[in-house]
Amino acid sequence: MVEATVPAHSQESVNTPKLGMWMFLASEVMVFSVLIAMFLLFRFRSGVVPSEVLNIPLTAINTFILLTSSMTVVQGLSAIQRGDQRKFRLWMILSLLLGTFFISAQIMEYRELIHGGLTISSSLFGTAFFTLTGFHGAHVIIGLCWLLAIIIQGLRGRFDARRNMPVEIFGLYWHFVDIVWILLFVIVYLI
Amino acid sequence: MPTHAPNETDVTAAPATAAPHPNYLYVYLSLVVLTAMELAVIFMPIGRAGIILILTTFALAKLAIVVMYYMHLKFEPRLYTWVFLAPAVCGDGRNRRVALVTRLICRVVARREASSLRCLPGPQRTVLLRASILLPGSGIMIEYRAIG
Repeated sequence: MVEATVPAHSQESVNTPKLGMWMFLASEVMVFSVLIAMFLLFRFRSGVVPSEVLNIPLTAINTFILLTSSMTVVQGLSAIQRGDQRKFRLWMILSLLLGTFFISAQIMEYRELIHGGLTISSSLFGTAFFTLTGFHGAHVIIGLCWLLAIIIQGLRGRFDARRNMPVEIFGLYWHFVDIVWILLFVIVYLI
Repeated sequence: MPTHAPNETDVTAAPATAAPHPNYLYVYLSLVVLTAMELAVIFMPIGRAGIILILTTFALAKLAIVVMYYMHLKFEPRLYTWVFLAPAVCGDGRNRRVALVTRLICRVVARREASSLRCLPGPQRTVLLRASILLPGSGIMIEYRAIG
């Protein structure tokens, strides 16, 4: 039998699914760049000071939650790369819970803002805010569905120390969602 | 024998040699500390311009940490970095001269990174290279022109 060969993980080898994911993320960079530019434009035209309207403490907690979920996803990937199925499942389920908490807190924030009179059609700031954060929230929800699929596949034993590329590809997406939030937290809430 | 033995065409299999894993807990703690510092900065008695500068620096530092260590870009082929950064490189596409220069840079990068795609068949390699380097750059130029 011919020994199976896989490309070595070095500066010289390119993995097609990963390259595809990075290309997709590059297109996402474009989308979010334009949305952020739109937000800044509308925000400065509207003259609203976000810290007076938005709930900074809740969002700060949410930021820590999303950062933690990124850490749990990468720990899950590391566990499956070592072949540790139990830890992989635990870290991934924890990531799912953290992601769900994040999106729940965002819904709470939206409800609070809408009760306070800020809606997507109430002002320029409202339009820009809900479009930008809503688009990010949609990405989180897609990520959660994807993560759920990964967990189900993991429970069925589809991944091991050698077959874990789908987990890594998902991780790239989830970390991208995290870095977008890192920027949004500063641009939308703090500046 | 494993049920799903990876072979040469199995692109979903993980690489044989895993990249060195950084200590993810330290990476996480650095992100937490930077976030806490961001929150502290907004209460400091410094000017608005200073706050914006500091917050932007911290945010970019956090972004770099996540991309390098959680997304493993530090340990991956450099082509991924170029692909990911291409939209940012071409950010000022409103200016035609800048757009032309960035396209030129993209071409040079594409040639330089061609060696890293040796594992792919020729035509596929060419298409992927051109798409990965040129499309994001062109796209951001079009979008920035539309908004500007």
